[in-house]
Amino acid sequence: MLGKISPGARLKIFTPAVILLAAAVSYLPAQNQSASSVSYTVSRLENGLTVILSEDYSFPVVTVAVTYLVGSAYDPPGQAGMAYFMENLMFQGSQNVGRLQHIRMINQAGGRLNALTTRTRTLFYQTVSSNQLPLVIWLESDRMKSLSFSPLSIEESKKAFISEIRERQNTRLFHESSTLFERLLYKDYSYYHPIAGEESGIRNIDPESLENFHQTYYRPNNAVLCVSGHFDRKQTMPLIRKYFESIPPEKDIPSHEPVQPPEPGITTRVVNNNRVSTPGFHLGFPLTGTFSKDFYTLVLIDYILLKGNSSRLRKRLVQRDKTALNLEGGIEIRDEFSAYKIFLLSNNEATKEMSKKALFGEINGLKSNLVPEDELLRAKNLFKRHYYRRLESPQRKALFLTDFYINHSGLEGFPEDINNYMNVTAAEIIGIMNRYFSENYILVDIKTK
Amino acid sequence: MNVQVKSLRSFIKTVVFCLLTLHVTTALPSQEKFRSIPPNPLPLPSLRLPEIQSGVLSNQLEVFVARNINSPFMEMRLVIHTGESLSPDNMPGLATFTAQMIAKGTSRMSSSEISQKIESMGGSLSIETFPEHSVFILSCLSDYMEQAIELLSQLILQPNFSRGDIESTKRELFYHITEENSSAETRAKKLLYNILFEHHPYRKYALDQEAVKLFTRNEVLSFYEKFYCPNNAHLIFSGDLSLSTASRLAGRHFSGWEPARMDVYSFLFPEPNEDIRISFTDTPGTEGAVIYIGFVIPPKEADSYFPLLVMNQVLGGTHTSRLFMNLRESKRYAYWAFSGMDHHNQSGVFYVKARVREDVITESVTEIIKEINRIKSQKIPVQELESAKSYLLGHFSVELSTPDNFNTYLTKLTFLELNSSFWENYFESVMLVNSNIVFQAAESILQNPPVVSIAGDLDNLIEHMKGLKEIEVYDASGQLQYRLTNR
Repeated sequence: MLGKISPGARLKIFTPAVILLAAAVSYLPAQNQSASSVSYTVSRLENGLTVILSEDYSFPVVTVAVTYLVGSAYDPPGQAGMAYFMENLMFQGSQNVGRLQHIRMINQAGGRLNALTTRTRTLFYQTVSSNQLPLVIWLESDRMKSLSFSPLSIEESKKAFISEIRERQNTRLFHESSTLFERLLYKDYSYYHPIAGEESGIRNIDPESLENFHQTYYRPNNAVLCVSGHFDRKQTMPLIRKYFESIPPEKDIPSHEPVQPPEPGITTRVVNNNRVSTPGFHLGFPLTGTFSKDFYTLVLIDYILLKGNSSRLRKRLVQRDKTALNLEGGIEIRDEFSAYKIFLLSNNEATKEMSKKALFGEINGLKSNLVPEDELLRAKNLFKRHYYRRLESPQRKALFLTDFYINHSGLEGFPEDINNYMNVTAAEIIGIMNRYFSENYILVDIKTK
Repeated sequence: MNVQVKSLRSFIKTVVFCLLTLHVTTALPSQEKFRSIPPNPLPLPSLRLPEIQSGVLSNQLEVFVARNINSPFMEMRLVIHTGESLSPDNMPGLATFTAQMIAKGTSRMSSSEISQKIESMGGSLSIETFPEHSVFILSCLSDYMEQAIELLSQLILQPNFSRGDIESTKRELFYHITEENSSAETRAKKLLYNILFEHHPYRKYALDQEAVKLFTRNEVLSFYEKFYCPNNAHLIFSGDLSLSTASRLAGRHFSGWEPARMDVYSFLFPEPNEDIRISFTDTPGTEGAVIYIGFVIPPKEADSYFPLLVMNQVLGGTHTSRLFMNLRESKRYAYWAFSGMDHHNQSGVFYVKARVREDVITESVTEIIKEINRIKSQKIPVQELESAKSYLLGHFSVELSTPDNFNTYLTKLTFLELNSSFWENYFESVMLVNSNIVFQAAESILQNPPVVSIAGDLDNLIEHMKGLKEIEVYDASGQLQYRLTNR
């Protein structure tokens, strides 16, 4: 009940919007939650499929996300683009679902869907009204079980892919310099080639290799299924078992070669770019030990240097000196190996050199001086905001839980994970800065005519 | 993380090729019987939205709270009930500009100090202006509620409007509009508003970069003093807080805000055109052309809203609606084709938009008008209608399930002064819509001749627009340049 709230206050109250069309569970609205209040269970089916269930009764919707542990790093030799091609093929029909039907059925149910390929993962996710959960389980299980495609349709898709690759090459303003930068930073072709593939790789894709790729990697024991949102766990587990458990696992799923760090030392290159009038540079510091203790400190260093309008580099280069027209970057994770990348554009050669000098000055400053307390708090709070936003809807939660599960081989550390970041100290930042931001980087300079 | 995100549209782009090819099924394994057909859906669940409570401070500032237990965030939306339509006639954009100036500094803080303070609270600030309102959205981690509302009140009550900030913000807005104007889609939509609301204040919603140069400190100050008062505003809280906490916070930080005399503005419904009008604006370098075809519609009312919603769904709500299926999938004219609605307090707009190949510009306009005529002259077959309704029923919850969308919905609910039954009965209202009601609504909404606005590269398009009778050509500021007459 409401009390008197302030002098002269007039109270009115909207009745809660309750729409009751069928018998339904009642629940308290709780739109988004902090990590400690996220509930979940993890189990594994007999065929090795990992199942994460996370109930949240805020809204009667449910997200189903299926993540396969395969990405562009697994593209077979000579077939760069295979994993991304397969992601598309997953919408072209399976044994019981016709072409386009997956998209059409989700659409007709008012749902949303998307898919995504990274270096090491391919994921598919859809959010629907919770009464449509069985439909999504059926659709996902059908395309995990077997695909149905025609050689002719593969050829048509290949043409479309190749034309997209050409278009990208022609329209990406910094194509040449980024390609070189990637190659220097990630020595291994499987890690630096474009996720969307290369023309020659796409040409070499054929129905047989697709079939093999699907049969090898799109297997239950190479996947994580996450259901998040409004559902009854007791009803949902049997549903998942019914549709997924009889899909056979693959005994020998090949792993890819672990990625090697670049040659130690400073590597610099110059690329002439006639497409643009603004010079700039790509700068990359190799980092190792993704999700080791160092990683949490590195994340906060990124927030101090580059995240938010009040970060050091933005304040200095963009707002104060005005020598940077464009500044972006952050930590990029490619499996066991990661890198801190910065991309900067400037008005002319002189301002570019000034930017570069100021940038290294800021980096060196962090190596010797303690970050003031209020600045560290800003970094932590901004990070916390972005972290919690990843939990604020069933869809985001499904993707975050899956990501965490795969990165950390389980969810045991999840409830306390945020503290790993919150406990970083100013002294640790100095230590980590000196360890990683040393005379060991790749610099690709972009010159214009 | 470097990832390749791909939209639904590009799936379809790829997959569509395959529709034309002969399908050969590869050898498939035998299977359990239940796999061959999709399972039945479960019963439609109830949708219980967070309760919205409200109170009024002594200075007439209305306070709303949507309690959201366990939320790590608190969000405040201060809504000023004046938008672009009340910018002076020669200064479209002044409402937008004044709202942007609010974050540029107070008597005590510079804009960079403001931004640092917001980030220190794990927060963010965004400002948006519409024809009839501006919204200031400040969010923070729940621990910083008190500091956040203090900041919001300083921004709103003590803006500095320094001449230096005014000049730099003018440059920002000028470049923003210039950039906006380079997009054919934005230009076509702005042109649509220019023509539909030719003699109506909503016309000012289409910002004009030249007018920005006229803004002075006096103009900004006078707009601010006239419209930024508590009796022309309301404040919405969303987070883990009660109405009494919200009212206490609002009372502490906003009670010094003095109410002022507010005139009531009401605009006449725009006069319909006697005949179809085709307008064009040149956006050199555009591939293809963007077409908007629009109608003015009455304000959002429950009676007409739901039939219109269903009509929109059938016509162009998604990738499976008539416009997309016809213009893209069947005729191959369009990259995309959709329909939609803008709702404002005093009237709204129903529009169709499409991006089409330049060689079929005339055919595309004809085809869209054919689809509009079909929906107002023939009742929608039951199956198509039910499928549109099933989409809307499922989509409502999906749409509201992200906090950003939910809070936007809260703003609409409180600003458009819709009574709660409007939303409470959403499912039932959609279910009750039948072909007859949609038919009546379509007939009434789409009865006047439409306005067509096209943006594209004139040099490439001129050859292909010969089939269109008379074309009015406008510049980026919405001024008529000349007429092209094809006989």
